[in-house]
Amino acid sequence: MDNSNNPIFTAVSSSVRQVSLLLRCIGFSPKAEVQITTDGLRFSVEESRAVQGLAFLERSLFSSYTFNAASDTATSSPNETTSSPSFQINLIALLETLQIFGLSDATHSSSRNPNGGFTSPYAHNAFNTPALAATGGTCRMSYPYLGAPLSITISEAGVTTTCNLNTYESSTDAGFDVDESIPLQRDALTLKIIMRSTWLYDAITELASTNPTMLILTASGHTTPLFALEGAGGPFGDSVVDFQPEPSRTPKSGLSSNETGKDEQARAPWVSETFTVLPGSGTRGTIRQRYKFAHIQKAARAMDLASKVCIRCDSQGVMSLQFMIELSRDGIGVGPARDAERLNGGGAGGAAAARVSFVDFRFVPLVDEEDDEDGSDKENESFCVDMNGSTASGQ
Amino acid sequence: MRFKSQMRNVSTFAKFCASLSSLGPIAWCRLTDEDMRFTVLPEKGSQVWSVLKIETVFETYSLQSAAPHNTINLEVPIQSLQRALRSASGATSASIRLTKKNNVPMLSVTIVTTTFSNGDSVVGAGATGTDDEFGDFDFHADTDDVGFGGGLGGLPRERETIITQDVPVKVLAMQTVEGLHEPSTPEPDVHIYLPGLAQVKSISERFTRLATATKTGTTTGAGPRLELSANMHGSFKIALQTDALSISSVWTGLVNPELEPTNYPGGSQELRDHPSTRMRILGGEHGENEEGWARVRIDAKDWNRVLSVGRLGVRVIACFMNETGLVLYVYHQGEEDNGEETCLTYFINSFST
Repeated sequence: MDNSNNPIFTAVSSSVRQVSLLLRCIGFSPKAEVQITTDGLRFSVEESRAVQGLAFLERSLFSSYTFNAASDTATSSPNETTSSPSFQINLIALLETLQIFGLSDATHSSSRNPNGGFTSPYAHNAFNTPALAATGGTCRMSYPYLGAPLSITISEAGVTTTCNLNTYESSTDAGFDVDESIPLQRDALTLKIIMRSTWLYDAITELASTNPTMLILTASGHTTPLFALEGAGGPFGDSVVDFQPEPSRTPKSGLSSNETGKDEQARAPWVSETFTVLPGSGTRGTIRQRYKFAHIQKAARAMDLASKVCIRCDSQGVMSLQFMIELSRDGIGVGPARDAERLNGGGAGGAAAARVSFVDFRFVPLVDEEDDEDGSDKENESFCVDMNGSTASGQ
Repeated sequence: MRFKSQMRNVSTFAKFCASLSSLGPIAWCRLTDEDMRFTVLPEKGSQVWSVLKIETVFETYSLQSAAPHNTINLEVPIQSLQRALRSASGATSASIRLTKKNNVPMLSVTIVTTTFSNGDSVVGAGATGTDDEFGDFDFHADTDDVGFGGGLGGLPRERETIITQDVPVKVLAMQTVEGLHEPSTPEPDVHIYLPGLAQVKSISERFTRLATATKTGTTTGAGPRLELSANMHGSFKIALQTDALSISSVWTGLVNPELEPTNYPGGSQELRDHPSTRMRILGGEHGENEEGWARVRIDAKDWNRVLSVGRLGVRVIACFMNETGLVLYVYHQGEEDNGEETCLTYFINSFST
């Protein structure tokens, strides 16, 4: 209250749509955790502690961004960047507000092209739509003091809409930290794939047609399938999307530019830009994890929108999908090499350039009940045997 | 009892009926020598009283009955009438008349359409006849195929279709409708021209969705309610309050129409005492005071139904009776308008808090 002259946070964005699109990627649950930091706004959504979505609105998305962290509010921050205590808001309400001027549903379903490929993500990049210029109203956000409503003001063509979203104290006492919610052990990664997001989106869409209950991810550095996604548990049977290796006109060269070349047999699926499998001991070079399909589908909007995705798994099976979403409207292309580099850098990049934003998803794997107490190595072994039996069908 | 008329502006009439049908299924229609009146009195929600000038939609108009002014009162299933009229879009001519079939009174809509068949159809066999002419006209390279059809009288390629749509109606006796009157309303506190209804509607619908999306399970069965308010300084506001948020959209720079002193028996003196004059003063010099706002609370869904009148392409004056109700005067302006306007009047009650 005492800070009313000096609000904790104010920001102005002239492109409501970019903010809205990023947030809609994680709009699968009504409650969102918000944390304001000096670098931007961090929105996090989770469901039953098994799936988590995170969108980071960088300060560069806003034409003006002011954050005054009071000294007493910054104590809980574990990072060196100061941040305010997080609070919860109704994300659905926020999204509806941001769309108030019929920033209509960007229903861009990627269409296949006859050559078996997919529409380039650059072609349907929603931010390039010409109609946008007319509809990008000005959006002003402010959070005057702790416990105050988050106020959003949108002005356009003689109409001013003001929305005060009530804020709720967040459920966790400790400051919000994504790595604590669903931990991904960055030092124990077993899998890392970077590829175009549309490939993943199409695979998931394809699998969804049999209405499966779980998604089985299989990856191997040597044997086929190198990378396969299986939708299992559906009422009409299972289906597998197998990403084939590059047809080897020059055998054993593969995508040799990748760092996978530890041994000469290392191969990568054709679609991937980076393909690293580092299975733990006793797994016979194959990673196999199961996830709830409905959870994976929550990332569908991000998959559709993003240009690239980085898939990572750690030794415990936690999967991270990091989506790179291009926000550029000025047509300056972002080189693929640079993208890969950025994705390699991992982390919700606080230093990323203005024209790229990231949306993160984390998934907790399903664990077999009977194997539960046996530890992960045994579990993987049993998977592996299981897999060898079915490999033939994968081809 | 006789009614027969040639329609000339069917799409307007269809839109008009569509706007009415969003409020209720049954309309009371009164035909007289001067005008055509439609009234929808739903059991719940807003009612609309409308006057349709005859020349707005009718070319010819003949009416005959035993009652004074040749009045005929009908009960019309308005949606059926609208559907019947919709099939007349693009017709060359359309007429409507009151008939009786098997002792059931009907409004019978007769539509004549002309369809151009393409060369593939059986009728297109006549095209062999035009082949010669084709040669004759060959020099006029810029004349297109359709031009030939027109030039030749279009006989070989044109087909006429006659569609008749019967809408069963009920004839109401004079004494049945005698008791029906427009609601009497107090003088408005605030009157204002509304902004474009399409915009108001899209925002209202967004608010309605917000209300349902953020509703917690414990709230009562009543639908979401919007608070509308306006002042005499050109501002109009739609607001919504729920557990999770409060949101409002404000339009500024709108026009408050001047009242005509001749319409009041007390003349300009009465205008000085008019509630709107008081509200203008209460609003302060630039409308900054909260007291200058007149408010009503209305059912969001009902309001959205009312706003569907926006498809007529209209001018709307809203009259706010603070905490009591809202009257919307919706004017449709035809192309060749001579001050004679079709007017729909909506009466919307305010809910108490």
